[in-house]
Amino acid sequence: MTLESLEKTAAEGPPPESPATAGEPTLPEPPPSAEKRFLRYGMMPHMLCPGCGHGIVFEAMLRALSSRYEQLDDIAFVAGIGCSSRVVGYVDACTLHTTHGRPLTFATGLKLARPELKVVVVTGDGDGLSIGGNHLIHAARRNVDLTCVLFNNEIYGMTGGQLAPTTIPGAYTSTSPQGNAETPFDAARLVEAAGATYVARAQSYRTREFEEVFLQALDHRGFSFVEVMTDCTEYFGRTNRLGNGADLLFSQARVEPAIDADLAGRSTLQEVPPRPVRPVLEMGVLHESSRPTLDQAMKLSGAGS
Amino acid sequence: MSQQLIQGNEACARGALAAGCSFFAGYPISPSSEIAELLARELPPRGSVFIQMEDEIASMGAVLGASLGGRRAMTATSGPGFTLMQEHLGYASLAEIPCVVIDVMRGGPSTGLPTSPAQGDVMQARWGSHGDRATIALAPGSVQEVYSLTIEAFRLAETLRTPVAVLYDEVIGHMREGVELREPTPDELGRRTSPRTAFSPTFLPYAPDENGVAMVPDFGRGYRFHVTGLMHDERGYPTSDNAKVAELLERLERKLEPAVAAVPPERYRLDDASVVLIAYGIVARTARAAVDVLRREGIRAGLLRTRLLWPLPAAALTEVSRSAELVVVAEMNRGQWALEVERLAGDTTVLSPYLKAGGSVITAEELAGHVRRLTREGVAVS
Amino acid sequence: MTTGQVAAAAPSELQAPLVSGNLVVAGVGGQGVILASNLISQVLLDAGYDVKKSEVHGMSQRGGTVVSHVRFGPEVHSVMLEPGSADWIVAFEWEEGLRALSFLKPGGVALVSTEQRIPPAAMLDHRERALAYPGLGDVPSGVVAVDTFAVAGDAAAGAPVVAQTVLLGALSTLLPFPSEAWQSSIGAWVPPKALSANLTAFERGRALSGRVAAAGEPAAVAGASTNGTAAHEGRSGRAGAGGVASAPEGAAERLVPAVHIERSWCKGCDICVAVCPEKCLVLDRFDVAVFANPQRCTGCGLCAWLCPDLAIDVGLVREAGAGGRSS
Repeated sequence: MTLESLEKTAAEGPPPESPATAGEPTLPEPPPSAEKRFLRYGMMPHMLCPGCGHGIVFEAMLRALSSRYEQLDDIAFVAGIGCSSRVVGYVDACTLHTTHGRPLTFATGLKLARPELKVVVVTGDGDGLSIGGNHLIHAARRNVDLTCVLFNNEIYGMTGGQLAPTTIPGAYTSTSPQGNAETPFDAARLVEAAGATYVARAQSYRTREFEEVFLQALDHRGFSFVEVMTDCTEYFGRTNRLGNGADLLFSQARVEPAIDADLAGRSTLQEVPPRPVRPVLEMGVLHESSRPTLDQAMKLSGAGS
Repeated sequence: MSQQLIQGNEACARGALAAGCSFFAGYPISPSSEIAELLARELPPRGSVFIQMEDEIASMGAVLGASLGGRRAMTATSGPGFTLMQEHLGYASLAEIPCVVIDVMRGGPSTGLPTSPAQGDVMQARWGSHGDRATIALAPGSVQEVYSLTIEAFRLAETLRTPVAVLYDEVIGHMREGVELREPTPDELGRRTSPRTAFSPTFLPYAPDENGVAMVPDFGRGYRFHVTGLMHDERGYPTSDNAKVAELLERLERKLEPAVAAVPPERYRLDDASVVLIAYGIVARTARAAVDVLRREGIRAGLLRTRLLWPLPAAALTEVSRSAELVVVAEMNRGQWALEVERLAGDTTVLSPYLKAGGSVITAEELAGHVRRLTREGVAVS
Repeated sequence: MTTGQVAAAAPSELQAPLVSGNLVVAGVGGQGVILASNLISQVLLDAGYDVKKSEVHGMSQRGGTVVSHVRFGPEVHSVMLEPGSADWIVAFEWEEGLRALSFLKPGGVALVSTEQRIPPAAMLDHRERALAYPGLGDVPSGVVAVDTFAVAGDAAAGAPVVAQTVLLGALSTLLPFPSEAWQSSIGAWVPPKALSANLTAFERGRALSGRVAAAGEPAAVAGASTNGTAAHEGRSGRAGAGGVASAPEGAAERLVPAVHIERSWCKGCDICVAVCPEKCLVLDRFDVAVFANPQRCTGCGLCAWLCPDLAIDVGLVREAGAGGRSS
């Protein structure tokens, strides 16, 4: 690992030495944590906003991978379009940043073409449940042997904070200025009903629990799905006046009623039933079962072409 | 080798198998479905993949994923499905992912005439995806040519790392003719470009070779790299650097030029022709008959039959259209390719396209009559 | 047709009326570029001009490059400026200001904050470039470098973004509109709770009129203090890429927890500051997390786990000497 990061540094130029700053402690620096060896340093820093929960989940993914794999040569990361999907660009692996809503279609083709590759799909709630909702249920139905991580921040971040199919009732977005009148999807239950053989839900605040279910999903044979609740600080948080990144994280720690209370207390929302706006979501492993994967059912060998 | 009596769509599937296609993803649509049905029988026993996806968008996505995995991959569809595939075709062009798309054209717009022939997707093939997308589109004129041009489509797709569309109409798709299914030579199959260096942290997956084709490796072969539909630099990383973006778009267009020489037009009785018919696909067959009819009547007619729609075979079109007195582009639409010829022809040439978009084939007699009328009016000497 | 020349005169001494003009407002997301250009446009609209304003955001992310072009005159058609056609540039960030200079016409004035924020977008293509952040040594002609924090002083104590209003005060001395017109526009655009701080910062900016009028002379940094702004505080050097880092040899050693913060990756979200049970971390004036209280660190790693920017590493290091950590 150290050799690899040193090589990377050699290739992309060493980090500049900053002049010693008066007043700062003179402790030596701790070494980079192990999962950083999977980062593309040339792409960092990432483009996510300050406080974005996706960054927390992303590092947790790398940490989990680092506990399981020495290198990522045989893992392909496939993503769609949106803030969540951008994270694959920072992983030093085979990474495929596809079109909006369609990562599971590319991933299905890739997995069938090369069954021996491990495929991880990163998608968001807009990408995976709105424009790509059909592909999500079909991938689950087919039991394609891949792991799909859906970052659910309940909003479209990259396009400027619009209503998502996961936005909680009553919440403000740039396209629901009177408060959301629609009912959100429960992504995990939807995918389970469609036939996924491993379904779990986690939170960006509880990174260790996320790492645990992510590793289980990686180990699972078949379509494994992890929905992870994360925070959009700049749009969801700001528009709904829920505070900064830390405030949103702490509200997760309280399993969301804080958001309910905050939204419920606002006069302009009073005509928008029903409230409380967000159910307390069940976390952890929600479903696990076993049946032949698509490539097994097709009797495909792992030889590739 | 003996001839076999097979249908156009079957010839397409046979051509794909001969070209080494080992992945097909598609969605049922008339009049192309026979291609999928045949490949559904033929691919799995060879250890290859056939999958019917949930729609055409997904089909094209799966094809691109499989191609990145190293497979020779294709799909087949018709006008409405081709429309749904356009975004992914744009993706494939920019990310330089080889693939072949068969479009068995039917009448449109919308659901249109699902079982009638038309040549309505000529401009969709060129401009259907947003942005300045350069592409290759082939137009076979016989069942035999469906076989050979499907093989050629794979060669062009793999060697130039680009999507290649094969456009033919319902009549050719469903017509049966005697076809010689000759196995392609290695040269006719071509090889996908691949990196010439081992992986290192400075590896550049989108560095072009001397032909301007990026040397992108397949996934899972020891190279770690990024593929994106964003404008990218040679590292494959997103960039908005104006100069790099302009250079990339220029290269993606320039790298397709070899297709013009690879698929030359067929010239029929053109040497002394004062009346030049220009046609492709099924119409070229009736146009050839029309030339013979007109010649018998003393009108010096000839035919330029193109098998390549895009990139435009501009030199050949310019040459014949400027040397003739009358140029007639005959096509089964409201005038698509005719516009391109108009753009290239000289001021002195009379252009009078013969267009028919009702759902039936242009007959030789209709076409000959059109020319006869014009010559009687003194437009061209006979 | 435009009147960059009037810039040299104090507003009260203006002779020729201002017919038309072009202005660029630049900065990074979150600094209030759009609000400021709205505010300026409001002043111009109220003065009776036809005003056109463009907003070039980057991606919808905080921290990306944001540029707004403002054109005004009796009748304005196109909104986008050609290079070399801006009479004034107002930039809330040093490198964004330098980057916008191609728009400045000869004789034009650029009011540029010395605040330094590296937009992530600027680093996508050229991490090297972002790390080679331009210093304040060579201030190009026409540029007035303003240490907005220093000038704003306590006005920016509540919200650092208020410091940029200093530049609007400085700009107002270049344009022939009464101070009241600006104050009224500030009142219209700024949230009520921030109004008084913004008005104070605006007035402190107006006090820079002497400096601003002298634009084009070899410039020094305007403001009371330039300490700490001249050099980009980039990524600090790593002691080693693997294992435990070492202190200078020859001293007795013991292992203590330590935190490394990758300054060029930190976006200042405040999460680490809020979650640290021992309050070891603070944000500095550039909104970058600093390991301020190492003696309290227990090495729990919560800050690293919850850092969205992957900017924090926690580990054990060998400390020289038996006493407390030197500082």
